[in-house]
Amino acid sequence: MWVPGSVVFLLPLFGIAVRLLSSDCGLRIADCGLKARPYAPAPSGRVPLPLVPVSSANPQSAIRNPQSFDLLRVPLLGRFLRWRHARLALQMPLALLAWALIYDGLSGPQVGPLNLAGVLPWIHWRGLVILGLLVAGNFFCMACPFVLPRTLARRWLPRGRSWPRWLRGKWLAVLLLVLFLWAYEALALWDSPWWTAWIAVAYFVAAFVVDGLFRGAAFCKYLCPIGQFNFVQSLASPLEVRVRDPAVCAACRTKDCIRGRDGIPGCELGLYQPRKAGNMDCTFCMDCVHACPHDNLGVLAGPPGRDLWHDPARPGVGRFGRRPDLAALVVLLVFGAFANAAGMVGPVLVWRDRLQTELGLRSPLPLTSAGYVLALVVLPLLLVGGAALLSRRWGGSSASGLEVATRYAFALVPLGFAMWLAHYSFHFLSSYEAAVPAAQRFAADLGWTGLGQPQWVCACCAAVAGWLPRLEIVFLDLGLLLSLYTGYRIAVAQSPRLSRALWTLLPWAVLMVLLFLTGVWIVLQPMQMRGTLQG
Amino acid sequence: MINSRLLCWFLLASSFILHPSSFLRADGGTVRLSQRAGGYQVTVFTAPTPLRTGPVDVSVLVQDADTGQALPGAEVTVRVAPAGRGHTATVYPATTEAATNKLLRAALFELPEAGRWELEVAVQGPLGPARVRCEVEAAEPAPRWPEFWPWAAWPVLVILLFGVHQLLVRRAARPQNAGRLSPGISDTRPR
Repeated sequence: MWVPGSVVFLLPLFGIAVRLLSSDCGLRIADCGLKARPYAPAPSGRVPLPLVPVSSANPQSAIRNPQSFDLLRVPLLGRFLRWRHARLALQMPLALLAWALIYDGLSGPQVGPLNLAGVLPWIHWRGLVILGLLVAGNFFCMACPFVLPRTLARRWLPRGRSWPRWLRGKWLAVLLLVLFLWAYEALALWDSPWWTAWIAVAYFVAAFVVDGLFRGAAFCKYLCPIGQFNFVQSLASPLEVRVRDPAVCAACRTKDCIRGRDGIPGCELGLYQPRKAGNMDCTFCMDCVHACPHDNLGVLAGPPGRDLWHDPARPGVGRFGRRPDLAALVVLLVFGAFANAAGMVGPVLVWRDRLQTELGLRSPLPLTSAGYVLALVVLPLLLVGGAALLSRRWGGSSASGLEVATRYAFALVPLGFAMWLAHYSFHFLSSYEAAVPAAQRFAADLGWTGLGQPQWVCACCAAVAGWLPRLEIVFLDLGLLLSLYTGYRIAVAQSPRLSRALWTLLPWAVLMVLLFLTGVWIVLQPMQMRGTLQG
Repeated sequence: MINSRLLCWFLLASSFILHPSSFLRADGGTVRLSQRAGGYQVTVFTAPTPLRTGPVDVSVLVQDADTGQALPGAEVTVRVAPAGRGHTATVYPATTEAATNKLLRAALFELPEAGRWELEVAVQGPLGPARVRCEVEAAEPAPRWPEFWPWAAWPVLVILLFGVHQLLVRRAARPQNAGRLSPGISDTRPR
C-alpha cells in the first residue's frame, strides 16, 4: 500500500522523464560513462538517457575512464589493499573462524542453531557474500581461507603439472555445483553441523592437493563451486580489477601483471590485464596489482552488468558466446537460485509432504532428488532451449540454437543474482542474531565464560521486518530490468534491424518475466527460518 | 545540470521512497506460551506471524522444569478448537519428524477459518502427564498481492519509458541511418 504522500515524489520523476523523452539527442549520446569526449549538454539543455555505446575514436580510453571511482585510492582501505600481504591478513582470521567451525561441527551439539557450523556458513557467510557482491565485488575469493594452506606451503609444493586439457572448462564445476545444490537440500546440510564441518575439511584438502600438484590456481578456476558462484555473480558487481590507463600498458614491455616479478606471482588464472574484461575468473587476489611496476591497476567502478553487454575475446576466458560450459554454469546458477529458495517455502514443503504420504515414501529424499533434477536439468533444458529455438526462428538468425542459447544465457545473470540476493539477504537480515548464542555456547564449552550465558532468544522468535519482503521484490525488480536491458543489448548488437532484434529478444524476455514472477511468488510465501530454533 | 548518472541514482532512490509505507509481518514464529506444568516447562510457538488462516505450524518445546534439559522422549499432542466450540476439536500429534529443529515437536495443519482458537497441548513423558492451554487469534489469509503489486509492477513503467525513448531517438536518427542501428553497436567491441 502506498502512502499518498509518497506519490509526490513521482512528480519530479515524471517531469524528468518527459524532458528526456522529448530530447532531440541522436544516437551519439552518453551512456553510463562510456563516452569518450567530455560531457557536453545538448543545445536544448536536455539530458539524454543511456542508449547504446557509440563508436568512438578510442573506445578503450572511453571505458577506462580515469574519473571512475577507484577503491585503491580510498584512504586507509586503498592503502591496505595495496599492501602485499593484505590477502593473507584477510585470510588468517577467516581461517581461524573456519577451524573453529570445523571443531564445533565435529565435536559440538548436532543441532544447527546451537552450533557455529549450523549458523555461520548458512546464514552469515552466504548473506555477507551476496551483499558484498552487490555493493563491491568478489572479495570473498580474496579472503578465501581454503587456499591459505597451499599459499603458505607454496614453495615446498611441486606444482609442476598442467591441469589436464580435457578438464579445462567449467563442466566439472557444473557437476560439483549440481551435487552441492542437491546435497544441501537432500541431506539437509544446513541442519547438520557434522556434514558442514566435513565439507569445510574437504575444501581445505582439495585446494591443497589440487593446487599442490597443478599450476595456475586450478582449484579456483576449474573446481571450486563457491568460486564459480562468485565468478558468475560478480559479473553484476560494480567493482572490477582493471587497468587505469591503457596507454601505460601499451608502452609496458615487461608484462609483470601476468608474468610476476620479484617473487610476486602474476595472475595465475591467466587474466592478462590490458585485455581483461569483466570479473569472470578473477579472485581479486591482487597479485597483478602488486606485480605491476607502474601502479597502473585499480579496483575501478562501473555500471553493474556492463560486461554482459559485449562479448570480446577475453584473456583466459574467451568469448562468452563460444563457451557453452560457462553458459551451462550460468543457467545452473540462475535456476538453482529459484530452486534453492522454493525448497524452503511453505506451499512447496506442504506439497512435498502430501505427495510423500500419497506415495507411501518413508523419506522425502526421492522427491527432493526428483525435484532438483526437474529444476536444475529438465526445466532449464526446456525453457532455455525453447527460448533459443524461438529466438533463432523469429529473429531469422543463422546461428545454431546452441550458439543463441549460449550467448543469451548471460542475460539471465542479473535475475539469478537478484534471486540469490533476495533469498540470502532475507535469512541474513532476519536471523543475523543467531550467531550470538551459538558463539556464547561455543565459548562456554571451551571454558570461556566472558561472553555470558547463551541468549537463546536471539536464535528464534524474531519477527521478520515488514520492509524485508519489499526489499526482496525491489532486488528482483532491478534484476529483471538489468536482465532485460542486457538481453536488449545483445539483441541489438546481433541483429541489424530493431524489429528483428526485438523478435529475437521476445522469447528471452518472456522467460525472464516468468522467472521474475516465480521469484515474487516465492518471496511472498512463508519461508522456513533455517538456522534458527524456529527452523 | 542533470546528467545521466544522477538520473540513474534518482531512479534508484525513488524506488526506495515507497519503502516505509506499510508493515507486514511474515513467518518468524511467536512464543504463545511458556509455562510450568507438572514437572515440565512447556513452550508453545506458532507460525506464521501473525497467525493466519491456512497452513500453520504449532511447535512445542518440552523441558525438565528443574534442569532446563529438553525431553526428547515426551509424547506431545495439540488439540485445536474454535473458541467456545470445544466439541469440534481436532487433535494433531506433534512429532520430531515434522520439526526441523529436533529439540521441538511440531504439528503442521490447516487452520480453516479466522477467529479465536483454543490450543491445548498435552504432554505425556517421564515426569507424568501435563496440559497447558492458550487462545490465539487467527487473521484472514493474507491478501498479499493487492498490497505488493505496485512493488512488483513498477518495472513496467520503466520499460515503457525506455521503449518510448528508444523510438523517439531512432526516429530522430532515421535520416542518417535509414532505420538501421548505429554502426557502433557491436557485440565484440574491444575493451
